[in-house]
Order: sequence, then structure tokens, then C-alpha cells
Amino acid sequence: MADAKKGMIKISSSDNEVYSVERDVIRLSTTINTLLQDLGMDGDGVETENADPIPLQNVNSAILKKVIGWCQYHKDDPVPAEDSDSREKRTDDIPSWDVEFLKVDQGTLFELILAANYLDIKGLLEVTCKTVANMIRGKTVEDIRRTFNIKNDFTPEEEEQIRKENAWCED
Amino acid sequence: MEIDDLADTRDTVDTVVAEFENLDSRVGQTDFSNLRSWSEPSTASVAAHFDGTEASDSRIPLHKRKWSTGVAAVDASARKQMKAESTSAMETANRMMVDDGETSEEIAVSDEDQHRAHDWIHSFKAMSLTQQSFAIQSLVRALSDPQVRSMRHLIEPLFQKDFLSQLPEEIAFHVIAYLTPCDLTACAGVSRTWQRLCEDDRTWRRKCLDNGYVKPDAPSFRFLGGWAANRANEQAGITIFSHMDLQEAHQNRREREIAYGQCYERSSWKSLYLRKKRIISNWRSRAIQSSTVLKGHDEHVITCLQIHSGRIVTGSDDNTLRVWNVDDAQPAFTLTGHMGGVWTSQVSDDGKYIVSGSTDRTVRVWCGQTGVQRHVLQGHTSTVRCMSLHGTTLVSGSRDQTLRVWDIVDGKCLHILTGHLAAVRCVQFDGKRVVSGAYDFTVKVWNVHTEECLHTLTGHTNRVYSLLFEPERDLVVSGSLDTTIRVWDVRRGRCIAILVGHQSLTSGMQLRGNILVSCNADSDVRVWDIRDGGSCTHHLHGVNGHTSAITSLQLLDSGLLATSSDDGSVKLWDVDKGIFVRDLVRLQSGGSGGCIWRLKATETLLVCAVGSRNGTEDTKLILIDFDAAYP
Repeated sequence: MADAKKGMIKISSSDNEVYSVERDVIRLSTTINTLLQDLGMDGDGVETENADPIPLQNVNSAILKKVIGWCQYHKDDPVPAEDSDSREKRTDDIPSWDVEFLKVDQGTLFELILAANYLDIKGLLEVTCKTVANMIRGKTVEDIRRTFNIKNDFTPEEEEQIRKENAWCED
Repeated sequence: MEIDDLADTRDTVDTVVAEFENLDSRVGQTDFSNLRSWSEPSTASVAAHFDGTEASDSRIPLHKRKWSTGVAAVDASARKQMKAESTSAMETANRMMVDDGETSEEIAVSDEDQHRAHDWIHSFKAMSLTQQSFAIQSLVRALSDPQVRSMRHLIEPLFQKDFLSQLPEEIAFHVIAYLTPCDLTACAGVSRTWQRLCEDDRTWRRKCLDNGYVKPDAPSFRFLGGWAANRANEQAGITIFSHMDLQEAHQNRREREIAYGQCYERSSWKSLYLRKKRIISNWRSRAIQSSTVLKGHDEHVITCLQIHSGRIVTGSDDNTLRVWNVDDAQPAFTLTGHMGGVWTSQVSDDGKYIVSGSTDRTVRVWCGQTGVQRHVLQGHTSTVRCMSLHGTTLVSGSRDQTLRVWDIVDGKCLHILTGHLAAVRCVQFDGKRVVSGAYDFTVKVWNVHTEECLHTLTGHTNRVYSLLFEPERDLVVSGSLDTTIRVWDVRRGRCIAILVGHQSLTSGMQLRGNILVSCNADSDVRVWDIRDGGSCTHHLHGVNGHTSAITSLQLLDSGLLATSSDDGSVKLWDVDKGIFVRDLVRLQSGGSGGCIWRLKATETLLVCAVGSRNGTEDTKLILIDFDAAYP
């Protein structure tokens, strides 16, 4: 068996672009990984090359390409700990490659989050959510609205309450 | 398609299409001839200046859907809809633009004009992709500068996304989990949707637990009784820095009674967090709301001070102990019986027992609720100088060079620990091991059950006056008249750090993690890292420092440190930053005899024992309240 062909999985985007991805790369998607196991396409010597591509209805080709690119770079990462709740919620630990990778417009970042969620890629979901959190951190209410183009839908009275509330967080 | 081609996704994306930056100025070198297929989603990209990205290298994939909406939006109805979505961003953008003539106001057009625009868009849509690209290119070129700006304002918001509102809720919660409490509070003011998400009780519970705020407790109400009648003020010879005047305090008290914000649904854990935050600001910077003076023990020295759940216990060389209520700032009862000065006291964890040691050589056990004397424990042959209570087992240290272990419920002596060669000055007990410091320059570690001395820790070259014991880490810290502080591993019986720097006797110490704070008769506070042989990380002194011997200290969970001094002042420090925060109390008699003998503090209360050795200052307690209501 030729090594290059070994464990290649075909997936197709919502706009019907078909991609051949190494088994080791697409493994990072728990959704696809589970699907492959359920389909019995997980063992050695299983012929996957001629199988129909796995359709991913919720991911377009532009985003899917980015997702595959991310998985490819991170395929050898250690498996993250299960209990992420107990871990300290840091946002200053995004790897520099990911920082570069995520220098995209908000629409793309948004779709990457949805794709990471749909494909259940924990590392990508984590790093994209952290990126959004970093866009919020340390900003004033006005700055946040400006950053994300959000309309203020509070009444002046409510705004006054909020201003008082925020004062409780000041030293 | 081969994946290898995608190694650098950004390079595979087709060339730069347009630069918003340049749209604005339209300088000559903007090469619009590179324009290619504006409407191809996966290939076109736009270099735009977005949050956190650099215009030069952020080639942003363009979404067909959005872009065509943006261009086609000349259509009046589409435009109206779009305007509604992006008004606030445009307004903001307009505010940010200097000299921006053209704003995206609603344009009133006649029916005829509407039809004309309609037809125009219709023919645009009918074109091939290449034709469309060329048409857009030509259109941009034909625009006036104000029109270009206007177009930019139409397009820019299309690259923005209200993440929290548009993401599935569980992902939005995932995002806000990464925010600090202050960010979360700010976010709740962004929009109604953000408010709903950022008031999530589970998220706030997590934040509270991370900060060690484990349960909501009822705020105290320290405004009545002695708090109202005997304020600590200039008439009482006491300066409380930035004390609220009566009117202000009254207003503040009302605020503590009325919770504002009926229309504001707030998470209860968020309320807890905000209250805790306010308590810390009350210590750090806000005006003091309430204070009181409790007079007692005449002109005698207060030798020991304890706070236990709403009660204060003071011991004095007037042979008595007094118990005071914090809530109404009134004396509760006096413990009389000792035939000599009281020099040490303890309160049991459950508050049922008060124990005291005296120059009359006895240890006495009192009922914590009523003040009735339960037992007189006799055996020591000289002054009882120090005690440590664990459950109902008490260890007492005496000038008679021994330690005795007592059961305070039935009043029996369980063990006698002998071996020290001079007076025992300080003791700590964890239920199994006793650690004692003595005037024989040694620290001894004992097995309380076998009465065996496990280690004699030698190294100090003068009397040992103070001890800390952390049984979980087998750590003991000792302060000596030889000016050094030593850190010991009591499992191996070895000295692991010698902290050198103080000039005199260490009067108080507290350990938090690997950070040790110490105060000294040399009038300085030092902060140490006890790891790697120990090092001094902060030296708290200088123009804002104490000018006489420091008598005691207390470190709060918030990292604030309160210190009291013979100079008649109480000061507050930030241990993490190593800086002076503010003066809390100053006696007018400070410098002429008035001194603060010791202080104790809880999260919301400071108690100072005050007096003088020359009659200039009556013996009293000063209480300052730092509590806060829920928002």
C-alpha cells in the first residue's frame, strides 16, 4: 500500500468541494472521528479512497479549507484535558501560529467558531472563543459596541442603572 | 483539490482586491487594475483595517452574500433594511471620522428615481461575474470622494459581527467564561441580549468560586448603638482618614437599606461578587462609613485581642478579660477571677469557650456565651505566657520552661512537655504536634501524645518570640530577638531559609502561600518569598511608613495588609504590589505616648487596641466598619 494513500478521508463542503484529508488530521474533529468509527472505516486496510465523500452541510469550502489548515498544523498536539471547567480561564496563551491564523474578519471568525462547534474540534473552538474574548477584554461599553457594531437598546434610565452597576467594579 | 496547496491559506487566496484605507484617499498608486472577480467568495479578499488586524497583511476573504448586498443596496428598500442594521456603527464611525462631510442619512427619492435605480440594479444582476467586476471597478472610479466615504460606511459594518447575540448560547457562554468579572459587568451594559447572557448565574458562580467567595452572607448593620453614640472622631482624639460626615453616612446607610435597580435582573452570584469588590474598595480608598470607640480596662494595657463571630475579647493586665458585641458596639460582659494580669487568650472555634493565661500561673476556662468561669487549670509554676487551642485541647506555655496540654471541657491536664531551658514564649498546635519557641533560643517540635521532643531546632542566637506553623507543608517560621526570621522544615528538622534584613524584634508574621509578611520593632514591614533560601521582595517603609515600633499586623485575603504601631497609627499596604495604600487611623496623642498596641481584622472589620504607657491616652478599642451591602 502506498503510504501517501494510507488513511485518506474524503469530505465535501456545503458547496460541494471535495477534499482529501489525512486520517490523522481529520481525527481532530470528534464529529468525523466518531462517524468514521461508527461506519467501521477506522481499521487498517479499510479502503477509504473510493468511498463517497462525507458531506458537511454546515461548512462552506472557504471555511472548510481554513479548518483543514488548522487541523493540519495541530495534528500532533497533545489531547486537551477533559475537564476544562476546572482549568484557569486564560486568554493570553494563544499560540502565535493561531494568532496569525485568526487574523481574519469577524464574519470569518464567526463561521470558524460555528464550524469548530459543528465538527467538534475542541482546540479550534477554544482558541476562536478566546480570540473573541480578547476582542472584548478591557474595553468600555462604547468600545465594545463600536467593535461589533451593536446598537444600544437600553432606555436612558436603564443606562443610568448600568453606570451605577459598573461603578461597583471600580476601585 | 490537494490539501498541501492550502498550507498557507492566506497565500492561496487570490490577490488583494481593494484597500479600504485607499478607498478613502484614493491616491494614485492604488492599483485597481488588480481588481478581479469582486463577487467570488472564496477568492476575493479585501484588505481592511479591522480590530487587531493590520491593513497591510490582513487579506480578508470576502463573502459573496455580504458584498453583493452591500453594492446592491442602492436599491431603496434593501438600503433601508441595511441602514437599520448598521446605523449605530455608522454613527460611531462618523464620530470617529474627522472632516467627514458625507454621512449615510436616509435618502429621499422620488418614485421615478426609485424605478431608475431598480432598473440599474436589475441590469447589474444580469451581467456575468466578469462584467459585474468591471462595472464595480468603473463605479468606484466614478465616485466622488464623499461618495467613497459613504460607501465605506455602508460596507464596513458588514464585516462586523455581534458574536454573543448571534452565536448559539452555549458557545456565547464559552466566550464569556474567558472574561474577567469587570469585563462581564461592562458587557452587561452593551445591549439587552448581552445583558441577559452576562447575568448568567453559573458564569458568576464560577467567578466567585475562583476568588474564594463561596457563599452569600448577610451584610452587617453597624450603624446603631455605640456605632451611633461613640463615633471615633477628632473630639475623641482620633483621626479616621476620609471619614464620612454624619449626613453622608446617613445617606450611605439608606443606600445600604434600599437596593436599587428594580428593572435590572441580576445574578445573585454577581451581586455577591460586586459586594466583595466594594468591601475591598472600602478598605482601599472609599470614605469610612462607620466607626466607634469602646472604652474599658481603664489605663491598663490590652495584652491580647481576639475577634470571634460578632464578639471581641480583650485581655488586660488589669486582671480581667472583657467581651464586646460588634453589632451594637457595647460591652457584653467581663471575665473576672484572675489574680494577676492576663497575657494570653484564645476563643474556641465554636465560640463556646474562652481560655486565658495569667501571671497568676493559672489557665482559666470561661463560658463564651455567658462569661461564667468553668475551670481554673493549675499546674504551671510561673506566668502563663502563650497558648494554642485545637478543638477542645489546649497547649499552654509558661515562664516555668514547660508546656502543659489540657482538656478544657473537663479541666484535666493531659500532658507535660519538658525540655526547654528557659521561659516558653510562643506555641502552635495542630492537634498532633506542638511547636514551641523559647528564651533558650530554640524551637522545639513535640509529639503531643508521647510527650516526646521530635526536633530541637537550633540556629537563632537570641530569644524566640513568635511562631507560625503550617502543618500541611511541615513548615514553621520563627521570629527572634536576634533580628532574623527562620523558616524550618519540621519533618526533617532542618532550617530551609534565614530571612535577614530586620534590625530588631519581629512582632508579627503571617504566611500566605510562599509569601511571608513580617512587622518589626525597627518600624518596617517586610514581604518575603520563603522559597529558595528566602528573599525579601518588598520593604515597606519610607515617607508613608511607620515612625516607631510596629506592634502587630494582619493580612487580608484581598492581599491588603493592616499594621499598627507605637507611633499611634494604623496603615494599610498592598502586599502584592509592595506599596503603601493609605492611613486608616491616627491618634492625636501619637508621638507623645499614644500607641496602638495591637490590631485584629476580619474581611469587614478592623479592631485596634489603643492606649498609652504614660496616661496621655485612655485605654480603648477603635472599631472601623468596611462592610458593604449588595448592589
